[in-house]
Amino acid sequence: MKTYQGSRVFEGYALGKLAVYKQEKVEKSFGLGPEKEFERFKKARSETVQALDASFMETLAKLGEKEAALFETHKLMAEDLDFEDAVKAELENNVTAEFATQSAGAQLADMFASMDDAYMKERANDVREVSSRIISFLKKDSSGFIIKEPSIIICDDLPSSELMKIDRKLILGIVFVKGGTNSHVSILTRMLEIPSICGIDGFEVTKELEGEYAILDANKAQLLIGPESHIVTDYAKLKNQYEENKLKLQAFKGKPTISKDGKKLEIYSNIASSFEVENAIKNDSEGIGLFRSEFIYLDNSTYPSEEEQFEHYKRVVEAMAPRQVIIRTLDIGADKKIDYFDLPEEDNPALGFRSIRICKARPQIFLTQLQALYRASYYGNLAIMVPMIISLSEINFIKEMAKQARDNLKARGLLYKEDVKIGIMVETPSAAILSDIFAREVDFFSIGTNDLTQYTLALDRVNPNLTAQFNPRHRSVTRLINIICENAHKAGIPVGICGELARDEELLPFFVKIGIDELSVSPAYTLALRERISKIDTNEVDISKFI
Amino acid sequence: MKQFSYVITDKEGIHARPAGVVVAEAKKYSSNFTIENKGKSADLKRIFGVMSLCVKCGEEVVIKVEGADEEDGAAAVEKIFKENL
Repeated sequence: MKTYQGSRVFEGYALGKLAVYKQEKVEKSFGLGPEKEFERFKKARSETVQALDASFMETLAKLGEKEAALFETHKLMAEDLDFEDAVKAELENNVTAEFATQSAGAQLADMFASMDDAYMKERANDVREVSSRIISFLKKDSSGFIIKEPSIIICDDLPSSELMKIDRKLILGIVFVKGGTNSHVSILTRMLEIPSICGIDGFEVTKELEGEYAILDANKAQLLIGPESHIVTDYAKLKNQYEENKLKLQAFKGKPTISKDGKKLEIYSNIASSFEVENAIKNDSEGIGLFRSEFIYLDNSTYPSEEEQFEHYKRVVEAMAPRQVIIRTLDIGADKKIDYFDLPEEDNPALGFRSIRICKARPQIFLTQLQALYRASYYGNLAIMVPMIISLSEINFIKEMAKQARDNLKARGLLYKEDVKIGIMVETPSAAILSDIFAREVDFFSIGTNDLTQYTLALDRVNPNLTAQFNPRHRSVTRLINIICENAHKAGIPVGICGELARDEELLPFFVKIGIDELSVSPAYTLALRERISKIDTNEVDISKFI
Repeated sequence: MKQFSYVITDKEGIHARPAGVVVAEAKKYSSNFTIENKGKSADLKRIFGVMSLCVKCGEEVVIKVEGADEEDGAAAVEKIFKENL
């Protein structure tokens, strides 16, 4: 069995045969001359336009006007004169209409891909989709993609028109090897609630995969090809349980999170991109506890501009309002490297140049991010959270930079909120030990359990030889969590836990008992956690072994 | 020549869907349509041109219409802007 890791588009499980969708790249070859090839292009284009009309009607019937409207736009793209001009120019080189269409599509896609706007960047996929549709009509293999039995579709990317043509009952799941989480087809996939993942690095989609048995675990964003029979049995059980549970949990939607004996807390979501916010809302999340801002940096080939960051933050803040959105500032270094940061190789990256340490050394990067955050704060309930804190001097640095960010925005006449809450991640033993002092200086704490465990136990969490000993339930860790929580409450500030430990079965009663204010987990676990908390009576919880 | 200006109120700016609606409307007329924003201009009948302006919420666009049916064309497109953007 082979396991591949991607990113989640929509949660759930699928077990079944793979169906391969593959669009062959057109090789450069000579055609019948510019005029004849242009006639071929025009014919294929009008066939494409007809087919897009059909896609529009199909989507209108299945999902409604808003989702269908993009096919109208695709039609205009197909008929656009800029596109036509680009095709004509390519045809002057005596190439085939197929090749000219592919090149023209790629040129326009590149134009979108290079725009300083996340939404426009994604439109590059629309252009590619339109040109590949015209190419398939040129090649006369327009019958499209046929699935005969319920399957897991695997593809580099799937034109949304193809998706809408397939009977939903035949789609068990989808793997978009090269797709993004916010492409049109990914959005439609979520609307249709199809278990799906995207973005598997270094994976090649080949025809040989057709008919292979696979398991799609979209909750973990993994694809398992050729699983052994016992794994299939386990997953079949898991899938049934998951689906039964999902139905049962609907009863907890719209309800507060409250323990059996009346202790109230909130369940927030961890998200890694602004496009996951719909997931958080759909799962009835009470806020965003950890929005990892790194993805904006990871998706770029150079430092993202204030404007680009602002758009991402604003999208999430606006969608969640009036609920709180805690955005974590840049957390790179250690195991997360970005080329253009040009960070030196380190012997001990986990103890190295990362997060706030980079921000202190390169304040301009931090200032740009803070300005984008303050601007987005105007549109809802945003809070800023800074990772990897060890000293009071760092907190003072953050406050100075925040003030400078506000002053700059004021001078530029831009809108922002004065009183944005600033909190810190408590994930180093130093911050835990000094939490009584830090609590008086910041607005909230959020405990990062993975790093707190790694640094407290002096155990490298990515070292495969130490996996068995990496125990976040170690008494030293839970004792620190208790100390942090007490110190936060003494100073009158809330404390949350982000990281998947927040939904740990064994520790959950402990967290509820000591009065953790907020647990932040992947959106899919929100309702399950709310259900489990409703069964906890803190009078019956013994925490002596944890403190 | 007819012209009008309009301030975009759609939160997402001129994104793909409304851009499509506007372009489709302009294409119904024989007149030439241009759209100007931030010192750049584009042909309102070309969707790639319109989208490449990357017009955001709160920004002003100026539409110029010139040709035999400019009167009707400008009125119709202005209506579409008001309804969709």
